[in-house]
Amino acid sequence: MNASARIWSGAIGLGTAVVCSVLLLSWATDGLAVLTTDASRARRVQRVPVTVPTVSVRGADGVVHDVMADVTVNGMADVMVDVMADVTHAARADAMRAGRASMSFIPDSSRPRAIIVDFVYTRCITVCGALGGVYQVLQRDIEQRGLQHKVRLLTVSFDVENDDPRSLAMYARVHRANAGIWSLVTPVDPESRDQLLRAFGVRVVPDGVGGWVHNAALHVVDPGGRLVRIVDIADGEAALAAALTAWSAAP
Amino acid sequence: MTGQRITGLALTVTLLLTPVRDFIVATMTGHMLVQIPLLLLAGFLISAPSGASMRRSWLNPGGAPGLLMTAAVLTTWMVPRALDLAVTSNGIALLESSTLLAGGVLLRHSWQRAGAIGQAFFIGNLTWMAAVAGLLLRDAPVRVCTTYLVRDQRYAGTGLLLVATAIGVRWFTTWLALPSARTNREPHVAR
Repeated sequence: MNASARIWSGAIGLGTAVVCSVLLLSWATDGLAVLTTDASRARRVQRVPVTVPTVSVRGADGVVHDVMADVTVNGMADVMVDVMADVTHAARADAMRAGRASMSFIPDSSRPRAIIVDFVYTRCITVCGALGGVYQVLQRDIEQRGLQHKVRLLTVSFDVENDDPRSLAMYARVHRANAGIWSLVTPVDPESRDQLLRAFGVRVVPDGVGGWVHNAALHVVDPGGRLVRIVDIADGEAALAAALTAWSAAP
Repeated sequence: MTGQRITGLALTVTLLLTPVRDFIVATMTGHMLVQIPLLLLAGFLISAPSGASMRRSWLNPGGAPGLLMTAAVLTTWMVPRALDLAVTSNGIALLESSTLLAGGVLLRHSWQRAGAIGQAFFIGNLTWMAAVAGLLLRDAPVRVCTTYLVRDQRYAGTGLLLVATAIGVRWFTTWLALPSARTNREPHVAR
């Protein structure tokens, strides 16, 4: 092999190595933009919104409906009631009481609202408690700034085995949920739950002591039922701003 | 030489068996400090040199392309998002295993050719990066992987820091003992 051929093959080898290295690293980091799955997810959703799948959930009042259906007080009329739903009267009464006690507003606009969605399980004493606190603050902001007809809050429990309507009603009461703003639901079965978690990019792993650990975040869904933004749980302000933008942008 | 090859192949097959892999990657420590190094080692063993054929590969001048790719592979599988994907997707698990095996092969074919300076560059960069990654994992206030727990993340960080330090120190002491290194330290300029 002569000298120039040697130089050429060396250059080809080095070039290939550089290209392969850059490709592999860009793939892992979304083009050197992120290091974590959560960051990548938030970035992708912001660019290309994800349509929330049609999934049946059961509310704190025991009524089964689609996850994106607005069942806060005035939306109650167009809820389809599942006759097979296991609704205990106590749970329904709890929910009604919780709703009435803190009811300060009944939305009058027929225009769909933007939604801020979070995922919890009610036995959780760590991050879900923090999320509950964040939601209480958000609810107060929404009430004080009069944004009830633009934004609502939705808490989804992924603990389909344990979180029945009664647990949801209890969680709602503990966090003083205003039923006109904040609704709570559990998917009707594990398949629905998995479908929902996948769409939102939430991963739930056992914590080894009987509970779960999950990537908590505030998910902003526009009035058209598309996930448009994911923000950090500590940043309720950003979530509210994103929700208002999504509401204004909706037709 | 063939003994090494057989060991490497057996190691590869064992590591790729679904129950074994699932067991090891169930923890972040197992994933980063057992699965990944062993796959690299398996690739290294499989490629036991057969004669002088490899020494004539002009595609790998000074071992630089090979070491660059090995470094890129190891860096990639330190990215939390890549670790998550390797656990949740079979396709990415395959990508992980194959790139690490290839990295081991390339490492063996490039190491001698790289010489002391190339080796110093490779080891210096990788151990430094792994040590920093380890420190960050130890101190991160939140989970960086959606698949692993915080406690596990701290163990993995501590392990990464220790392994990186050990490799760095071990390589440096070997390098000091090299005759070429000793000559380089003599002030034989302007003589």
